[in-house]
Amino acid sequence: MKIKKLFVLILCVLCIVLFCACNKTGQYLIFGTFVDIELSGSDASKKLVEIEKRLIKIENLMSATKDGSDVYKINAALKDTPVSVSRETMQVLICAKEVYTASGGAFDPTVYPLSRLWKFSADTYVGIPTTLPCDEEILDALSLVGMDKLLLDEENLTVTKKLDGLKIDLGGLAKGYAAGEALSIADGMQGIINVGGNIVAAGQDISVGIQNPRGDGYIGKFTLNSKMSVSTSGDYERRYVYDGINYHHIISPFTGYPTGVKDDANLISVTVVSDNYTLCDAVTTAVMVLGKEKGIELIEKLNLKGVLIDSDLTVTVVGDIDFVEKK
Amino acid sequence: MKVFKWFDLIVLAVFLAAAVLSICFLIKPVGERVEIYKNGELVKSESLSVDFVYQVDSHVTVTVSNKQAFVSYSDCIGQDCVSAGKICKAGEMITCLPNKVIVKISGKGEVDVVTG
Repeated sequence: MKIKKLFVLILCVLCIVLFCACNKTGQYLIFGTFVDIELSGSDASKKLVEIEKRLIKIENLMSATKDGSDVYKINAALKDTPVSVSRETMQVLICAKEVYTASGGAFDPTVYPLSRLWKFSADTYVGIPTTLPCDEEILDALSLVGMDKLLLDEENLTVTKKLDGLKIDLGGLAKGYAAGEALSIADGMQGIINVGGNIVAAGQDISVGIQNPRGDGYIGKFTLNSKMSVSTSGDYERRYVYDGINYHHIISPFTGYPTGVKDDANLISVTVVSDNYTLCDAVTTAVMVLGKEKGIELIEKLNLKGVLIDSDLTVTVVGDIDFVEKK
Repeated sequence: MKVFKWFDLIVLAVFLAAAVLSICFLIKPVGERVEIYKNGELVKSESLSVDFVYQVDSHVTVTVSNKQAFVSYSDCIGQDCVSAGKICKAGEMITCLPNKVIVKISGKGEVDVVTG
């Protein structure tokens, strides 16, 4: 009988081994971008389904182009008309306001009309410009920019615009928030969560390469500790070249032009590491707008870490990151 | 008295074979593979060592040559996916959002994922 018991025990151990070998990935197109999630564990398939549902719900609340979303309603509203929003959207808006204030307006989600004018928003981007916007159009769109003209009532969950025509896009903030929500669903599991470039290390340290902004492959790598997130913004994606000038999707709310075109912002890639998943992407944008010196000040002020790359590919590491440049 | 019946031995053998295969899969250094997704669904997975041309649909063609993968044709207006160049390291990815196509290198490489 002892041998029979041993037999049962062996079977149980083998079952556990087989379960542990279970590694699941999920790829989705949500937020108009690519979502890639790798999870390991016996519950992985179930968790992936749960995550997909949650991400779709967030997209339906925060997309600027989905009819009926909170953001769509805010953009369509007239001034002085309170718009009811969900608790989730309010949470992301509060985070946006924090970065807006800390960066002195360098990050501003109300830059959306300018993004549309330059044809860099998700629904207008085609990559080939036939013409550029004229100064008058840029000034008109600039007059609609300013998160201080958006009043947030946290208690009653309402948003009120103080200016007709003001429009917002929560873009990277919503994706970062979604990545954090995915992590909370996958709590206790190991893997990598990537929501449109907002990457979160789930339950394990991972090695992250930073895209070479002027070539193939990555320029260097670092360790992203478990439950930390990373996001990168740069002038090399969603862009077009017109008359030899690189126009890209990161628009300065100060000049109305892509960063580096009418200002001396000297960065071509900014990577930020944080345990605040929502804020990461917004800070990368703010640092691109502010340029190197003020950008470093912002990262330090917010107690974050970052890797900045200049136009001559000089790398500056801010904070405690084990970044190693590729040889 | 027989301790094991024939059926017990067969079950044990099946589990042992499955466990050995699983462990081999886990510890074996997995070669880099190119994975192609359309609308979030995996439509092609192949070793990066194999040269091939894969027409995802009438809009996008992916080519793998000399252990490098690239989008050799896309009818999207931006052409970001074509100008993204060649990828060969695990964690690297090319995205063609207009055509909803992803080309991704998987496997155990120098990095787990690339941000940018």
